[in-house]
This record gives sequence, structure tokens and C-alpha cells, in this order.
Amino acid sequence: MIKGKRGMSSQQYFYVAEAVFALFVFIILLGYIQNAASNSLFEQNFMARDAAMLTDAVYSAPGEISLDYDTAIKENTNFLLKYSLPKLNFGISFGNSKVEISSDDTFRTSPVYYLFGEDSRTNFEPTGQLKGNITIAKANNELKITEVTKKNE
Amino acid sequence: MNKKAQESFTIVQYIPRMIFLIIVLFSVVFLVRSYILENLDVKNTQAELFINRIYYSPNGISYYDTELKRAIPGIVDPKLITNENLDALMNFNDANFIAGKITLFDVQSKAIASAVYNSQTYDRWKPISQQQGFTGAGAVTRFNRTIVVNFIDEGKEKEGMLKFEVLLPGK
Repeated sequence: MIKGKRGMSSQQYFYVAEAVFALFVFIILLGYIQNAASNSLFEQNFMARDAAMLTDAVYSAPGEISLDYDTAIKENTNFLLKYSLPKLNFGISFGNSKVEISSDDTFRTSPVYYLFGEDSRTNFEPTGQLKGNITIAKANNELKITEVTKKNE
Repeated sequence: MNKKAQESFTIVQYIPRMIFLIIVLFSVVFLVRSYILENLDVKNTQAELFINRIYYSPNGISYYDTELKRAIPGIVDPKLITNENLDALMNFNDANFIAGKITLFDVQSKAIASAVYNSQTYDRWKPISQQQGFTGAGAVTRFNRTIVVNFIDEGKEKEGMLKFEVLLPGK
């Protein structure tokens, strides 16, 4: 019926072309959203602020204090958007009034950081890059931040 | 209208239809994109932490018990409310990070002691913080908090109030 001279019409081709075009544009734009949502930069910024303000809170404790902080971020799967954020293990370092977060993201040339206020009357040694559980402890006028080695993963 | 004209009319009709379709698709995607959180505003928490550092820290303004080896919040030593003490308590290595002022009043609202943290930045930001309607990176947000305390005066404890004013950049 379509191929016959009476039924011949180009209208269907326009409908198909429109649907294909819309689908093509929509897929590209959804890919852009997925890229924005699966970027770990937000998590790095969050962790930098969280760790820096936690250090400030430990400094402000009236007496001795010890705090454990887990730097690993659990996997997050959203079945609606069909993307997953794999378990992230950032490197975190403290020193020079800065908390620096480093990751395996090769696109970033400089680490994400946030500031905390070092107390000049409390001894504090800058740390190297720490991963996993860390302990922030203040005792005997000294602040220590160390990595806790896990026995069982 | 002959058949050729009908075909041409159909093609011309599809141009605005395609443009409208693209606008609708972009609108949907940007609506979804707008719900993705990117900014982290921690000014409120930062201001609270600043106040807590000064008030609760053993090297702050609270009375420090050398036997218990801890600060006693609620009892303030006015001799510790100095610019030098505050600047030594917190070093952010950035003059444009935070600034603040604390003032100790007695029950007659007479100022007993006053100190400014990061005084140069505080003097620069104070007039900006008092202006209404400023927004953006160049604006200054002000936080105020008043705590009822006891302070030591000539070996005796007296009632008073501690007023904190914290200035942070951006709004």
C-alpha cells in the first residue's frame, strides 16, 4: 500500500527522521548529565571540607580527644539513572594549614584542598598521604593524625 | 496546492517543529542538571567552629585548669582576650579566609575586654558586611552569637556576656 502510487507519501520519512534526530540529541545530552553526576570532584570537595572542619573541632576540644575518620566512600548505585559511583579511596594529607585530597583522576593537575587553623601552641607534624581509616588525636599539647591499618577488609 | 507545493510546505513546516523539539529537549536536560548539587556552602559551620575554637579550646579564652589539664568553658579569663592570643590560636595561612571580633561585657553592658582576629581583614570587611543587598564573591556574611559566661575579675567570678562577631567572604 505504501509502495503504490496512490499510497505513496513521504510523510512517514519525516516522522522517522524526527524521531531519530530527537533520540540522537537526547542520548548526547543524557551522556553529559551522566558525566557530570559520576564525576568525583564533588566527593573530593566534600571530604576536604569535612576533614578540615573535623580537625578544627578536635583543636577546639577542652581536653584530650581521639577521633576515627573513615576516608573511603562506599559504592553508590542509582538504578533509575543506571550509573554507579565505584568505591572511592582518596589520599588525604594534612599540613601547612591545608587538607589536600588526591585521587587517581588523571584529568586533575592539582589536588582539591580546604583550610584548617593550626594552633601555634600545639605541636603538629605534617602528614604524608594517608588512606583508609585515620585517627585524629589531641593529647599532651600535641595533635597527631595517623593512618589506622585495618586487620580485616 | 499541487503536489510539489505540498511537499515543500511540509518541509518548511518541519523546520520550526525541529527547533521547538530541540528547545524542549534542552529544557528537560537542564532541569535535571539543575538538581545535581555542586556547591558546598559551609559558612554556617565554619563560623560555629571559629566561635567554638575560641571559647572551648585549652589555648583559647576559657579558664584552664592545670590540675585537670582541661579548659573550663563558662569561665572566661579577660587577660586572654587579646589580638595576639587569637592570632596564635588559629593560623589559616590565608588572610581572606575568616575574621572575627569578640567582646566581653559585664551585666551593666560595659565592655570589659575586646579582641579582633585577623584585624586588617576585619577592618576591611566590616563596612561591607553592614551593607544590605550585596551578593556574590565580593560580599561578606556576618554571624553573631552571644553567650552568657562568668569571668574572673580580681580573683572573683562575675557574670557577663561574650559577644562573637564572625565575618566570612561570599554570600
